[in-house]
Amino acid sequence: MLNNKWFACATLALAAVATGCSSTGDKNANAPAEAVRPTTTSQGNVAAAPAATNTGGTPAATQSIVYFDFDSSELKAESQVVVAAWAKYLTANPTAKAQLQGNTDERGTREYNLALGERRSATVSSALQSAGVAASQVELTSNGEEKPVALGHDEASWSQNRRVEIVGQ
Amino acid sequence: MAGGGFAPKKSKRRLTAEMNVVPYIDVMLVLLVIFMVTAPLLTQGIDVELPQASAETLSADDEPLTLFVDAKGDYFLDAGGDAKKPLADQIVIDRVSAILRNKPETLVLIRADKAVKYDRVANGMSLLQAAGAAKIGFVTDAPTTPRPGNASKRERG
Amino acid sequence: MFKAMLAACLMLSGFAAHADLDITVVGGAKRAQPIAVVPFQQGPGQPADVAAIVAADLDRSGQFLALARNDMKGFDPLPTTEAQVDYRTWRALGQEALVIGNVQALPGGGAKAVAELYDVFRTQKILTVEATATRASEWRSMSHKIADQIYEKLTGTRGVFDTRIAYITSTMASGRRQFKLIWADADGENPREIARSFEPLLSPSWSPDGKRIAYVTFEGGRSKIIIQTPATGDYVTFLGEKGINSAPAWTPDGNRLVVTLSFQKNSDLYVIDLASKSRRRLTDSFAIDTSPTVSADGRTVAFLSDRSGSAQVYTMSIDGGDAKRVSFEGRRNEQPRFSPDGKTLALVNYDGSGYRIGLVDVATGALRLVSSGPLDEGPSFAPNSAVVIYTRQGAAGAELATVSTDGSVRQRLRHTGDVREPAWAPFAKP
Repeated sequence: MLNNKWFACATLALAAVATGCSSTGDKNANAPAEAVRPTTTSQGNVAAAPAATNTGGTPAATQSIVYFDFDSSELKAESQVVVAAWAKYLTANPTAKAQLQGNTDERGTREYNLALGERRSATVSSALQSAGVAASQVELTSNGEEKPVALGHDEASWSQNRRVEIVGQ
Repeated sequence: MAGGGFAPKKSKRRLTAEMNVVPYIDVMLVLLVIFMVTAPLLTQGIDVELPQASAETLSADDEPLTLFVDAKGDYFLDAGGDAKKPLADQIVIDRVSAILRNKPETLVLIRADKAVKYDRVANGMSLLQAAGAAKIGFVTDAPTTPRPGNASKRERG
Repeated sequence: MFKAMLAACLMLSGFAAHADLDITVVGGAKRAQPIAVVPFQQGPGQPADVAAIVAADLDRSGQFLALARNDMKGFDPLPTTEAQVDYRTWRALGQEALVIGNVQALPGGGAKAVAELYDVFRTQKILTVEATATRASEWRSMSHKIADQIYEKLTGTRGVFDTRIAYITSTMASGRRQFKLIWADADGENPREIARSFEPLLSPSWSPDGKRIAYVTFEGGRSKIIIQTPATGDYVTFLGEKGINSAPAWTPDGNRLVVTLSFQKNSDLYVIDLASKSRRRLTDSFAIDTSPTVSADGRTVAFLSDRSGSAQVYTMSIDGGDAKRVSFEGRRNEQPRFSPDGKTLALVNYDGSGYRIGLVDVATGALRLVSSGPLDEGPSFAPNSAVVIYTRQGAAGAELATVSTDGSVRQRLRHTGDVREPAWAPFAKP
C-alpha cells in the first residue's frame, strides 16, 4: 500500500501543489476562508475576519488537508507544508482558532475509526503546538469513516479519505 | 546381495554396464504380495457395505402413488385422504404434479379394472404425463387386491 | 432543537406492515426439512394470514422448506383438525412435518391462534401451540410466536422470529445524506423510525430487557450518546463529553453502560452507572481502547485496543485490573461482541486482504471465520446465540447479512439505500 506507485505519484503531486500554493498564499493576504461546513456553528466566519486585517487569512483549502497512510496517524514529510502554513497563520493571529477534523477510510470498524480519526487530529494538533500554536487555538474532532470525500472502494478513494481537515474558525 | 562391484578386495574386474535388476524384482515381489493380501480384504469391505446402502435406498422411495380406474371409468388416487371419491381430471393432475414436484422419485402406477374401457386408461395415462410423470407402471394382478374403486361400486350396487 | 427533531421524527407506523428490508436466503442448511403449513381455519378479511407468516418464517430460516400453497390446492379440503389429518397424503408429498391450526378472532381486533404440529413419519401429534394477540397490530407477532415454538420443537434451538432488529440506513434526501435509526421485526416488516439525522448515527445497542436502545449521534457536529425508549420515543442525552462519546455496551443487569470517552486526551473505556451517572475509568493507556462488550455473567469486558501496535481484542475484569490479549490470528481483530449465552465471542478479523466476521470459542480460544469479506463488520448476535447479523459491502452498497454460527445458513438483507450497524434486540420479557 505504501509502495503503491499511484499513491506515490499522488502524494508527490499533492506536495508539489501544496508547495506552489504556499508561495501564492503569502501574497494573497485576503484569501477567502475555508468554506465552513454546515455542521459548524454560526460563529465560524467571525474569527477569520479580524485575521484578514492583520497578516493574512487562513491558508487556502488546498493547504488545509493533511493525508495519512492506512491505519497510521503519523505525519508525513509532505504534510509539513500544511502544518507550517497553519502554524504561521495561527501564531500571527493569537485569537484565531482552528478545528482539526480527523477522518479515516472505510476499512476497519466504525468505532475504531472514530478513535483513529481523533488520533490523527491529535497528531496535527501536537505538530501545530510544537510550532508555537497555543493549545487553546485548536479543537480536535473526529468523524471516523462517516464523512468520506471519495466514495469508491479502492485505494484511490481511500487515500483521499484518510485525512485531517483544518478548518479556520 | 549383488554387491560384487563394492567388494572390499580391489579386484581389477571391469564395471558392468548392465542394469542391476535384482532390487527391482525384490520390490515388485513385495508389492505383489501386498496386493495379493489386500485385494481380498478390499472386496470384503465393499461386500459388507452393500446391503446397508441398498437397504437405505429401498426405504427412501417406499410407497408408490397409484391411480385407480374402476369399472365405471372413474379415477381414484391413494393420496389425499378421500380414496372413495371419484376425482375430476384436473384434481388428478394437481395432486400428482404436486407430489412429483416435492418428491420427484415417486413411482406412479395405474391399476385399472379389466372391464374398464381402454379409452379411460389411456386418458388416465395422459393425465399422469401432464402432471409430469415420466415413467408409469401398470399393475396387472388387479383382481385379487381390494380396491377403493370396487368397494364404492359394490356399495352403490 | 435536537430534541424537537427527534420527537418529530418518531413515527409509530400502524399495523399496515411493509418490509423495509428485502431478505433472501443465499445458503440454506445442507438438508432443509420439508414442512407443510396448511392454511389455518380463519375467517376472510382478517389482519393476517397466520399460516402464511409461519411458513415464510420457517422457510426463511433456511432450515426448513415450506410446501408451496399451490402444491396443496389439489388436496382440498385441507385438514384443520386432528381427525382430518391423512398422513399418507403428506408422506406422498415428501413432507416430514405438518402444521394445522385455527384462528379465533376476538372482539377488539385481538385473536387466539392454536396450531398443532405433526410428525408425518411417526404419524403422531408432537406439539400444540397457543398464541394470542390483543389487537390487530399483534397478529404478525402472534404468528411469529407460533413459528418460534415449532422451530424450537423441531431444531432444539429457540426461534428468533418474534424478535426485532435495529439498524441504520443512509439514503440521499434532497441532495443530503440522511441517516435513520430503524427498528423492524426480524423479517424486515413493520419498520419504525427511532431517530433521523443529517449527521451520522452509530453503534445502536439494546438494553438487556429490550426496552431501551443506546446509540451515538453526531447531531450538532459532535458525538453524543443517547438512550431512548423506542416504544414511547422518550430519550435522554446520556453523555456529551468533549471529544469522542461512543460504543455504548450494556451490562447484563441493565444498570451500567461501558462506553468509550476521549475527554482525557485519548480513547479509553469508562463504566458509567445509569442511575447516578457516576463514572469509573476502566482503561488508561496511550493506545486506542474502544468497542467494549460485556460477557453474559457481567464480569468480563472484551474490547479493542491497539496497545500492541495493531488493533487486537483484549479482555479484562469489569472491576479493572490487567488486560489479557485474546486474539492472535490475522493482522488485526476489532469490534468484539459476546454472545448472549456467553460461549462465543464474535469479532472482525483482518488478515491483510479483507475484514471477515470471526467467532471465537470462549472456552478454547479457537477462531472460525464465518463470512467471506472483504469489508464485513458490525457483528451482533441473535438472542438465541445461533445466528450473527453483520454489515457487508454488497454490489449496490452496504447491506446486512446473517450467518448461522455453524456457518451453514446465510441470508442477505437489502435496503433501498445503505444499511448497516445492525443490533439484534434481546427476547422480549414476558
